[in-house]
Amino acid sequence: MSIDGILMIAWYAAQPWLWLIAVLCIALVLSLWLGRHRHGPTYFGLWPLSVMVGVLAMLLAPALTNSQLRYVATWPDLLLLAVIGISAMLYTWLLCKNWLRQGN
Amino acid sequence: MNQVPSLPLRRKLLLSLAAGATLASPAGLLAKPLYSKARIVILGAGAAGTAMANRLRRSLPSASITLIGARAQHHYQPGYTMIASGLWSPQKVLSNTGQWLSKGIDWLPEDVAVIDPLQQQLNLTNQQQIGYDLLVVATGCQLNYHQIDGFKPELIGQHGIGSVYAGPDGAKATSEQIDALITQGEGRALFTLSDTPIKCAGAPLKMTFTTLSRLEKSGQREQFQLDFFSPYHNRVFAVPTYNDFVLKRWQEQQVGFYDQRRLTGLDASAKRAWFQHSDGTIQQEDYDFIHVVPPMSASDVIRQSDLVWQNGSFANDWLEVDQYSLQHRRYPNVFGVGDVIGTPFGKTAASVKMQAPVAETNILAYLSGQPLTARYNGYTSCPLITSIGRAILSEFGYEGKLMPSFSFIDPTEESWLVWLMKEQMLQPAYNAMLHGKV
Repeated sequence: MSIDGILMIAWYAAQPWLWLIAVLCIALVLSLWLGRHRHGPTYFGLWPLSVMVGVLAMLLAPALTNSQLRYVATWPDLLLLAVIGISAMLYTWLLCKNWLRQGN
Repeated sequence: MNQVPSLPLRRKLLLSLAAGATLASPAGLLAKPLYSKARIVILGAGAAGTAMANRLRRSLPSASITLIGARAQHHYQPGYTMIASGLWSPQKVLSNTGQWLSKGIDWLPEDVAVIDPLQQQLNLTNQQQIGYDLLVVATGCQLNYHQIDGFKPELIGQHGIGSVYAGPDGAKATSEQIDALITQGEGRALFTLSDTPIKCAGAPLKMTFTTLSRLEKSGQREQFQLDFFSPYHNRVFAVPTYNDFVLKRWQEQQVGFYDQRRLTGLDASAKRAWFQHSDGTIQQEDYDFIHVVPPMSASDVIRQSDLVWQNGSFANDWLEVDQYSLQHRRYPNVFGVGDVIGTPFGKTAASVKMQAPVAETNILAYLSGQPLTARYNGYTSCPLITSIGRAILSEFGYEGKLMPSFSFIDPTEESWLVWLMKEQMLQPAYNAMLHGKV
């Protein structure tokens, strides 16, 4: 399948979820903007929290798609699950980093 | 053979072509526009007809494009198995036919009653007559439930009878019958296969696998006997790789397999079915649930026209086209796309995705008086659901040759990713295909 074809299908697949993507982007931008003046070292719990959210996303992803964790078997399955977990972890970290600072 | 209208028509059409017209790009890419005043009629407003109408509207901006098909609702048929497996609602596969059509396509919400390829004329069910210069036949499959004694489509959803092919409501009723079987706590489920070419040949297998999943989830698998009846010898699927996989898996899952048995009749109220063995003997089987796969053919209007295959294994049942160019073998100004065509493979939406650009390219070549160079290789694809939650991406073409699209997906390995493609990505890909974008 051509790259053009894959991108076109990805665009069609994303369309029903544009509202969610927009909500997540707005939440992130607002969080970074409103918290930009907050300084100080980040709360030590930020990383464990981000990792927990990432792991939770990995555990829930198969169930949310009418599947089961035990069916995640091939290396592309594992890679996809890892991408989901890392994305959720990074998003959580970026969303919370300005609000979980010591001394604020 | 009767007089073929191709040559005079060709000359006439060539006169209407602009001198500098450029020919379409190879299949798979979007064709470049061509100037032509041809009257193009597309029969069938399903996936193949809609995709062809949108493609030809774009590539032939000056031509008249008429789409004939009475169904006001468009059905995303690959979703039927998801409905019949209790995962989707029927609404998820329904949309309006009109919403998929580009501006400039004349849609006549009628059915064709008579096709006269010699006179290049169509009679519609509303008595209207329409002439054409070029005809695209995309009328899909006809479900011949009446060929099973004692069976009527109205029985689906009653007396333990299901059939995934019977539309969104029929698929939902099938799921409800499977639920009723599970609630019963014990029983026997039969799954059948037709001896004709069928659309989405993986669907009967998927229904068996997803019913097994539901029974396993209920914790009562041991209380139920599942049996699959195939008219073929030791075969449920045309490609040996997948056939062997399915039969081996069913053996592990204790699904009974009875080959060379064709469903010939049933008594709904007695929950009893009759199968004809290849030696002619009739075998009676009782059931609590039966999944019926009807014999299929092109629609009667095609079968009664001169467009049908005259001999060979597709004779009197399917549209006669060259399996590579998709051009009719006797009427060069007729092309076929989708389930209606009599080719060894190619009765899935994925097939249409590959056929539509080939047919488009060859139609433009035909109108330009050029040789038809685009070739359909028989590609078809089926995310073969092996449990609710995982699937195999089976992709193959003529002679059963495996044709994987993605190098990183093993075409013989069960995968969550492939399930995700079926559940989340296939419908967007289908929608893009309807718009003629892929």
